[in-house]
Amino acid sequence: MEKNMPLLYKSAHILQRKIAQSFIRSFPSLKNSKPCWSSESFIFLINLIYLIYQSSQNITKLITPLARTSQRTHKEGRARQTGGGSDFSKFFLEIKRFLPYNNFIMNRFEKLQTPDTSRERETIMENAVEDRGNLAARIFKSRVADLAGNFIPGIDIPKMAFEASIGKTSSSERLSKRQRTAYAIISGGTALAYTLQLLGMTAEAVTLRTAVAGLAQVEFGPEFLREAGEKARGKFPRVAPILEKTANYAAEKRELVALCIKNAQEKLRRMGNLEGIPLDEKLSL
Amino acid sequence: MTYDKQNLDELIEKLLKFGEDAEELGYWQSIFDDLEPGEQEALISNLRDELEKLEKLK
Repeated sequence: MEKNMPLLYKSAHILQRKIAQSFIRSFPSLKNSKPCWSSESFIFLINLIYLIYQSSQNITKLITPLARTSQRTHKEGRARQTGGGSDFSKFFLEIKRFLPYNNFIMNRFEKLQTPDTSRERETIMENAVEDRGNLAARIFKSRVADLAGNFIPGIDIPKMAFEASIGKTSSSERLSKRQRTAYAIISGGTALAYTLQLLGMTAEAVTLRTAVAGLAQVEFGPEFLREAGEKARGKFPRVAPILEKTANYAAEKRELVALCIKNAQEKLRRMGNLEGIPLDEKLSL
Repeated sequence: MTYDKQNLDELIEKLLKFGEDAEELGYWQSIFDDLEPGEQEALISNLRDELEKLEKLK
């Protein structure tokens, strides 16, 4: 060990050897590992301690007055031997100068200290997309209500069809906010298509059980949405373009379309078996 | 009052740079003209709000 080596570094060096020896005693398998292993690990450890120290500077500031009080009670304290000030910070500043991996770890640590904006960004986007999902539900609900109100007044089946298909998934299907919004768009389009399908039925057929049976037989999906949109073009200009564009959107999301149709038809069948029970009660079942 | 489509396009272009879903925003862009003014306003307000929050985060 060099004579002019700073005292703290000498202490660190001795400490390093002691720790390395105890490591090797604790883990005999390390005896055959590279000789530098224990040294690097120690340096890494000291760096980490130093960085943890740096990150808790605010706490140190709070503690410093207490430390000074303590120093006053110990006339020959270590802090005075090294020229006064914070003993702890001087020790680490000294260590820092000799540590080869310091920059690497400092950079890593600085990255950790930088606020993680990616998570925050994701949260902002998820909340916004959820709001758009609710907007989609409102838009489709208003279109369905328009159709139902203007063309088949007094019959609650369109409402039922809408409630059955719009944004409802069973508890076992965990969708992300983004998927739920896509689901709301697709199911809104499906609800519109259901309603248009109902409009094509004869008045006699528009009883709950028959309607459910009729709807259950229809193969819903992007192609059906597109066809429904084309058929509606002349008669229902307010819904036709939305339906066609929703069909294009749904075409890229086959899995969600299948999920939406399955859920809607299951709910319709359940409701169909409950004829005679008020709609609000059925919807809550 | 109807909302300017150009305004929407600009908002969407900026949001895409933040990594927003092109497919979903493309859908909204496609149906924008078919929406009622109130619905257009709600959509623009949602996108503007999202963009402002993301820009503040930079």
